[in-house]
Amino acid sequence: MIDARTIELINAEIDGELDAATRAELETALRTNPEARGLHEDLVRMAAALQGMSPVSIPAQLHEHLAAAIAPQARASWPKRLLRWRRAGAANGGIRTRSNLSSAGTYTNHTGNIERVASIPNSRSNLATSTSFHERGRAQMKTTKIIALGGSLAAAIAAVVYFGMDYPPSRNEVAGTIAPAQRYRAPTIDEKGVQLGDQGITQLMQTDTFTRLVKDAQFRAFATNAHVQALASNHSFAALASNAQFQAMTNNAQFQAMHNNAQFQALNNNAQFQALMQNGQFQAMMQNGQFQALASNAQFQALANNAQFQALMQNAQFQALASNAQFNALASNAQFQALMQNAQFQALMQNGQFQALVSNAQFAALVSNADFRALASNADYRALASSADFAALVNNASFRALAGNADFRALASNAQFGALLTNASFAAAVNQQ
Amino acid sequence: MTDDTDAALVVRCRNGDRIAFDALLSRYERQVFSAAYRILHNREDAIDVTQTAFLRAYEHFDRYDAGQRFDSWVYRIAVNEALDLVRARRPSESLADDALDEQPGPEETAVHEQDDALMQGALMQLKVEYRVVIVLKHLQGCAYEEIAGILECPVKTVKSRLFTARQALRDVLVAKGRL
Repeated sequence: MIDARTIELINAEIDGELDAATRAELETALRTNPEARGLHEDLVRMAAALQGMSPVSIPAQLHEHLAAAIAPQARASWPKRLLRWRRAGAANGGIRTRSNLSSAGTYTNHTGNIERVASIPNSRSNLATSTSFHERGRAQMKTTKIIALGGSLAAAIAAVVYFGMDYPPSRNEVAGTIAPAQRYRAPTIDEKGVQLGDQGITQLMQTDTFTRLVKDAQFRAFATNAHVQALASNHSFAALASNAQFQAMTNNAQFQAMHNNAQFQALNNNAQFQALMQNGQFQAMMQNGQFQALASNAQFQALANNAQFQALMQNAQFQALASNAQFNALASNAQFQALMQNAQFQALMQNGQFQALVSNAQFAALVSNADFRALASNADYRALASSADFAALVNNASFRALAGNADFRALASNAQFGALLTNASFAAAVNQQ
Repeated sequence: MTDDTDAALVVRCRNGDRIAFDALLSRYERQVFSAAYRILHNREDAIDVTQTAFLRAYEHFDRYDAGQRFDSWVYRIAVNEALDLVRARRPSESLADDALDEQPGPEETAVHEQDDALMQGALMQLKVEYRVVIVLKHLQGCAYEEIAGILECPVKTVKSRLFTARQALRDVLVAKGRL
């Protein structure tokens, strides 16, 4: 049984709304209630999974289509369309149809009078239907009166309409006027719009950012780097480059600082670290809020720097840690316990580079960073982080310089960057510089 | 033009400046389309909803409150359009354009694409009211207050609906073996 307060706190934590006091309250609740702990872990993982969803691919011609819908020429043609729709409305028994949006909210009521829909932005229903009801009634009465008072006049009107306004409309006209513009379909979008087409790459290569960047010596060094080219042909890297989390991460100052950090670079070359990145228990641990708190804890950092960690059970620092609420929560965490039994983790704890890294403030900040946590759970990133090419790239001075380059970060944030790297035109453009 | 604030662009739009509207369009069309797609899971419907939202905005700049964020205003129009669309359909009428989404893809299909499909499929199993808050909060990154403005309800209601929506989504994901 989970009380409402705990549920509220769990949700508040996911939304980043907790302060120190409420966080401590939540930690106490989680420590004492396994069911709450399960809900907490599920919701944290669910939030990470939602954040990890790929960006929706945007139809290539969306902007052109939307812009065309409000183009002056389109609006200038409204009266002509309205006239046609009036006929269609009569032929159609006045049934209003949700038609193409380029109709701009114009419909025909059953008397043939043109309605301009009062399309109130926040309306949840077609208010025009109800607001025009009385107008329709009045129009009907007026029509009836006209018919009753002057048959000959009606005949004259009919004649004028027939010869002057081409009424009734032909079958083709009616069909054309009910749906004057076809509902937008996306023939130019490839299947499900998931694949990036050459057109998108061409557009990207025509941007000012790309033009500036391709003249940049750092970028050229990056693009012609053998490791980069090896990575570019790596499916995981292409997927990662298109991944929203990775793009967000490249703009993250902590991530950039981390990649310039010598300890991190050394760690990336470390086989134990690479193995650890592939370890499911470690991945789960990285997602664990308690571990993140621990990694940021100065006492734990001091402890990790101590070469005799396993003998530190009697050490004052360890005793301080043992009384730390965050550590206590962690010690009872099944994932942490499994991790402590993990041979790779034990080896890592003995590794001087890892010890230095854990005591590094940038690493602590990075581990607490939501974007990095999401990225760390990304399969593509994990695969990439354990590859030799990635380690070499991180150690490459040109790449580190490039990571701080604003134009490169802008390009890396572009959804088509991943596709660009594998595109032959791109390689040719870079080589021409 | 690209450096202009939304408010400045809206003033220009009110004076009939189509270029200013084009700038607003460029700025927000992707967000609006993305939200609509996540709610409807149908690209054509999402395009329709996006188009309606911007057209209505274009026609009703006189009703735009300068104290309000433009993107929230357009989101509100779009979300209401999407809700209208869902409610207008019979329950048996599927919105999803991608019935194959949840089927296993070819071997080379990336794991994250399958996971995307699974997550989107799970979202589609929620009531649309719940789906909307999840999309706005987790996928569009809107704050509670912003969602309250978009849905025209108190912040307390947003929180309550979000909590319920998360639990419902959790249940679906547990049933699918994702959690």
